[in-house]
Amino acid sequence: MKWERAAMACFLVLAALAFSGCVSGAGGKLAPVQVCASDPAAQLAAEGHYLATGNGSFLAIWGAWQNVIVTAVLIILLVCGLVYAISNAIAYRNLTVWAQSQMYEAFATLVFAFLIVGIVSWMCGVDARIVGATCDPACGPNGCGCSVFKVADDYLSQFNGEISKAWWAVAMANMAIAALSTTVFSVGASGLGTTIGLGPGLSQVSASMSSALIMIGIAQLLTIAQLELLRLSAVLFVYLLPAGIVLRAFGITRGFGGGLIAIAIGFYLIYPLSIVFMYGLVDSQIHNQVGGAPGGSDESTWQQQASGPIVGWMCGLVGTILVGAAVVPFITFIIVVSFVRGLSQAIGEEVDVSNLTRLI
Amino acid sequence: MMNKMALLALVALLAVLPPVSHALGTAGCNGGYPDGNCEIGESCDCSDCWGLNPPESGGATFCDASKFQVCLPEDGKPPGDTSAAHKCRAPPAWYQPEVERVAGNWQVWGPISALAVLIAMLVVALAYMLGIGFDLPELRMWAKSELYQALASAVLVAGLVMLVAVMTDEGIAKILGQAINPFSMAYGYLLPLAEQLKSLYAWNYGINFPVEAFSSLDLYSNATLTDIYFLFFLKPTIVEPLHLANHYVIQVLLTIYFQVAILNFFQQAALGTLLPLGVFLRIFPFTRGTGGLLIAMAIGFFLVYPTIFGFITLMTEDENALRASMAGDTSSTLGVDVATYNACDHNLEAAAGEAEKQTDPAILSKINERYSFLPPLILKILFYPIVVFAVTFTFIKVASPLLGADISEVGQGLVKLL
Repeated sequence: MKWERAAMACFLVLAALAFSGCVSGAGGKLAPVQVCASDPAAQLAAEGHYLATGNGSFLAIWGAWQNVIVTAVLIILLVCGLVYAISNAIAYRNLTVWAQSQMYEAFATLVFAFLIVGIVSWMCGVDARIVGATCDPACGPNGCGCSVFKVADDYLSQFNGEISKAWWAVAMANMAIAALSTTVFSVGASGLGTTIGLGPGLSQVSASMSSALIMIGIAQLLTIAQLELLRLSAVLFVYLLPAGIVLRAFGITRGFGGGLIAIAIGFYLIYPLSIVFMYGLVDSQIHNQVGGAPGGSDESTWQQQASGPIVGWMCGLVGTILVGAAVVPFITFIIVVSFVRGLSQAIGEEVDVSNLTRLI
Repeated sequence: MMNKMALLALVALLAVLPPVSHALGTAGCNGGYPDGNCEIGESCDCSDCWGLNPPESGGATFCDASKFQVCLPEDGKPPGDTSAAHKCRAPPAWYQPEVERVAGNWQVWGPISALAVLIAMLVVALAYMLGIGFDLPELRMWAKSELYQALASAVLVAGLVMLVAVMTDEGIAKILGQAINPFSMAYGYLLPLAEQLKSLYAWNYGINFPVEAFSSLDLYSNATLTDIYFLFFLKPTIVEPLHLANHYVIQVLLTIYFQVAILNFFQQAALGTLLPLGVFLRIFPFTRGTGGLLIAMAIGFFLVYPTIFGFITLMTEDENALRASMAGDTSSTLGVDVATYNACDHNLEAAAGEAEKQTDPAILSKINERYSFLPPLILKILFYPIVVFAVTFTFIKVASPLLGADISEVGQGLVKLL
């Protein structure tokens, strides 16, 4: 029975290693897992991208961390094995059970680590177009192919670009209206005369558009913050996941390590996934609305526009932008938090979500 | 034994009755009658020959008069195509494009979800084997419970795919009636208000434009270094109140369009994106909570959220009366008639005097009346939608635990945000 268990354990380790894409390198060292850059040409094109190679990338750091994780697990197995042997020798039943459970947990941690890396590698290879995402697989600033990470980055960048277009459309309209509002008619001679403003009534429209510009600016800030969070979560993943796995290997820090793993996975995998599903719709909606920007070549046209159509267009545009910049991130936040909570409950200590929601 | 046979016979009879009655009814439905051939412009007296109701007019068929049909060309032909054969049939339902879009998404998500269920079962089987191999009773128990969850997920996937199929087959129309469109009710609550506000804005703008122009009229003298705005009193009395009114109008309009955008987003995202994604995520144990939450959100925002708007519409005052009162007042131009200023005659003293008369307290009170409707409007735009949100979130909070999610703390965060 013991031999069967040992064989099964070996099989599991080998399966996990194979699933994670790790190969044996020179000198018995495990070669680093390539994340989102399996194709050499794509890797070359994505050089410097946050998901590919370069200093601080997952590719560079994971190789070193793998050794740390394996060493930590081996130490635990060694210590627990020793404890197990001693407890058997002195017939101390409680200690035997403790050592046994610690060995199982350490082993589970090892398997878990490679499974996570396997899932990440798998997600990098999955073409997001199969779930309806629109993507150009050609190499660009965000990398090559149509992985979930690239599509998420593309979608947010596209949304950010649409907000910029919207800002310029409103700003140009505001500029024209503000300029017309200063038109003055003057009659006089020898330093004596009278003037009358022909378009000061447009100033109220201009003021409203200035407020709209502020809101669009805030929306852009929120969107850029999301883009940064998306990129930051990749960087965080590089550090949080290995640290979480190492901490989870030890009994005292198991809960904390599980929480770190959950946060790393939640922000690195679930966050871009939710962006892919949500922002495809928002991008098309806002694109259509920006295209309907008002315009005119004479004052009368602008006056007609200012009396109603421009207000409706502006409010509709700002409303859609706010949905994309505030409501959709809120939904993605709920999805991520819900996932982190569930996973942290399962593999470690539950992340205190109520503290996160207090931030709101 | 006899009871069981009787029960079976009853079930069989109930199952067979509709198609048989339909076939019998259809046989008699010809020429301008439901499901029969018709000519362009010909009416279809009643819609469906289920054999349940007596004929509406003249025919020898038994038709359900409550189901409306119109004379339409055969499939794929545009309306009014004289060359195409026409037939009495139900008009395209309001939900048809939505259902087609959702069905298209499910063509992708259906197989993915089915595959995910199989993978989940595979993992469960593996865990069960490990549980036996390592003699871990807890793992075995977990595997068993997960197997039930995987089966529940399979049932859920199948049920939702069938639901979409039923909706495509006009099942919802048969249940609810075609006139009921929750999103129409919600848009019907918000968009007329937006139109009223836009017309009010245009009206204020139209009044304000010439008055503000006159308020900028000045007389300057370089010799005495003076520049007198002798109609400046128009600014605080007329121009600024109208500016303030339009400022509020813009704020309320923005809120309305924000809500319209939210509705539009969920109309497109709820069944087409959130639901399939939720079903997929619900299959796996670590993402079960997230999946359940997404399913609850999809149902909540597609059905509950717009429907409550319909109830709110019934609760609030008559929209038409408000619109009529505003429309009826626009011709009065507040009593401020810029033509009487005679400013173009260069009789500045007379113009100033006229303007003073025009800004008497009665006129100012009229201006106040113009935007005194804003408080109830803000109630309609801010308070009632918050109630709608609260009901929707309550539904999500109640429904999500049933689907495997616990959002009590996240829900608290939402409430704090509101």
